[in-house]
Amino acid sequence: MSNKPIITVTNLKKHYGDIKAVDGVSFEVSPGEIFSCLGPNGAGKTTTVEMMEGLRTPTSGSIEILGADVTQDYASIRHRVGVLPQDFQPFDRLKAPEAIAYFGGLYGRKMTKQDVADLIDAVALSHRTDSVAMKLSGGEKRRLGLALALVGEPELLFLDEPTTGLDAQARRGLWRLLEGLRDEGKTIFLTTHYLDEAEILSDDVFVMHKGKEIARAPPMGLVEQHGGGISILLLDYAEKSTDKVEAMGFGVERIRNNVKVNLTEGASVREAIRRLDTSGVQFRDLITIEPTLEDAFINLVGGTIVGGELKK
Amino acid sequence: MSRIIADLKAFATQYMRNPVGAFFALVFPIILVLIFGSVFSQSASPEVPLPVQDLDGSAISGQFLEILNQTGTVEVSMISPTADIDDHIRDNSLSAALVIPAGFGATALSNTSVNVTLYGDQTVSSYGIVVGTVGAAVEILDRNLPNRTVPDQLVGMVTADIVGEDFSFIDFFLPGMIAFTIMINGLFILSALSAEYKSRGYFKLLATTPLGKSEWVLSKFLWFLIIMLISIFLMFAISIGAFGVKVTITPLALALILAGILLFTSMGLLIGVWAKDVESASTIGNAIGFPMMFLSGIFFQLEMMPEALQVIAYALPLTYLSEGMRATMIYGNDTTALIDLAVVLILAVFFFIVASKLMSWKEK
Repeated sequence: MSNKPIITVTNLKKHYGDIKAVDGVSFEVSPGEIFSCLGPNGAGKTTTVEMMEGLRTPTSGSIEILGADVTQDYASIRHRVGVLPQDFQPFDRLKAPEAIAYFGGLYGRKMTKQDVADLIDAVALSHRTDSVAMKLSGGEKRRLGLALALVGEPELLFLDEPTTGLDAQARRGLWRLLEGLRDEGKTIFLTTHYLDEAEILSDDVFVMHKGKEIARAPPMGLVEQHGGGISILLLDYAEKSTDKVEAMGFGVERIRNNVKVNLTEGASVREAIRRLDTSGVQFRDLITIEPTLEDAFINLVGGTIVGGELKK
Repeated sequence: MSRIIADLKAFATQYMRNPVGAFFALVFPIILVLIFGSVFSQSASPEVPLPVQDLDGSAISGQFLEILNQTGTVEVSMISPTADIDDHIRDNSLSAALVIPAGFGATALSNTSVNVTLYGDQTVSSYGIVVGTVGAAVEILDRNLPNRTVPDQLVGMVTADIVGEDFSFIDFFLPGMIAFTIMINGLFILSALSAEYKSRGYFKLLATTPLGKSEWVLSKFLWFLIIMLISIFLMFAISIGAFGVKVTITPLALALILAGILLFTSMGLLIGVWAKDVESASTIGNAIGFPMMFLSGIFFQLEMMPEALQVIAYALPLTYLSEGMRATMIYGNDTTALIDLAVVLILAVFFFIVASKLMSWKEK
């Protein structure tokens, strides 16, 4: 597989009057990777992905996908791209096999019954083939949407918040599916406001906020660069004050009856534990906590994402 | 009680905010009252158009025309004496015409019996009025003839059927029903469908596939063509089986059907892509469709309506479709049918272009 970027976005802007929905973002996506665009609602993720899908015209900037200039000639690559829109709704009165066969026709693919069955099986909908789409659950509808995005056997998939509104089990099911698709060599451009989703699935994370790029790196890279140091949680902390711990030069945070000790980056965990153990401070036990993408996000943006919204 | 009032208030607010509910509760009944009120209040003393060809031009024929005018039930207009009456009736799709023969006055004055000929279409609702009026006028003239020396009636009336075949009311109703079916399916269904496609994001979804906008529109046109042809076939099958209709589809009628489908699917599409949501699209479709249904001569003759409504009728596309269908299928009047076809086609192309321009699968 060539390492030439499958997507090259350069200084992309979308302005609505004074509102800068997307304000000069640039990135590249390599073939075969899951690239996550992460940010809270209103960050500009959907506007960005819809410009890449040819659904919105950029104010300025360029988008090159699969060698084509999307702003001029999206039609030439439509058959090589699969899309699951954020607000996807299936055709209510079609059953899953009928919807798949319909989209197969749109992509000029002659699908046998076995082809349809295989695709339904791939998105784990085999048990719902007799139900019209309006009777499917939220998760099943999203999986049907994914099947429709896959019908044309695309090289590139745009999935706009594919797991929003799904329960934990359905989300994990979809993650497994996406990992499988990556293993097959497909490139996936994903937008999400779920920090755990971006951390678990992505090869690359592009953090967006207020239409701008905040950071871009593999999840572990972001954690290493922006997540802060490792913490030690002192369980059932028995002292009235945290003065003694603070006196040792640690940052301290009380969490109910526990105390979280924040180590500076590069500090030795073993040495910190030894000092705490021998300080005479009373606590039942301790555990170490590694920083996550959420910590990195908080440090980058100044808040975390709850229900899609930024919470300071 | 307070809970009931609270619920009533909330429901009333929601109901009135739904344009469909408000349309059917408030606007639609008023439209019907106005249309039927205008038609039937007038029909108590209708003035049915009666073109007359006076081949005599005598004082007696003049007197007869005056008697006809004084009845107040027919509106006499003159046909040129040089016109061929059969051609004139066919070319103008007349449902009634009266011919006063040459020598009419002289024959009557010489105490010899003579008849006027009333060409009429027995299946139209105004036929009885015309027959009764002309019959009465003939009797009045006969009673007042000067120099009468014989007691028998000298002036009489003979009738002739306007259409070649023995058509019944259902034969005349069927072309209008076909036009009506094309209108409600194209206008009502496609307006709601395209509004649904827009509001549910189907257009956006399809825009990401290789399907083009024009292909989508073409497939809808083809579907309505198929379903309309099936519907027309069923209408004919039932009408033949139950009522023995004799009317048949002519090539011009087929062209009108195709043009009509393009016209009303384009109008439906335009409403659907222009309206904010499905409810608004339905309301606009109803507001345009229902008056058209009653004012385009589908259920009663245009001539029966007040002049103001007739003017409105000729501003409505369905009038040209139903009139064209009747002209070619009933009267064999291909000249009128061709003009109607041209009007329908021009409107169809206009609405198709506007709808296609307005229809955007992209976001702003």
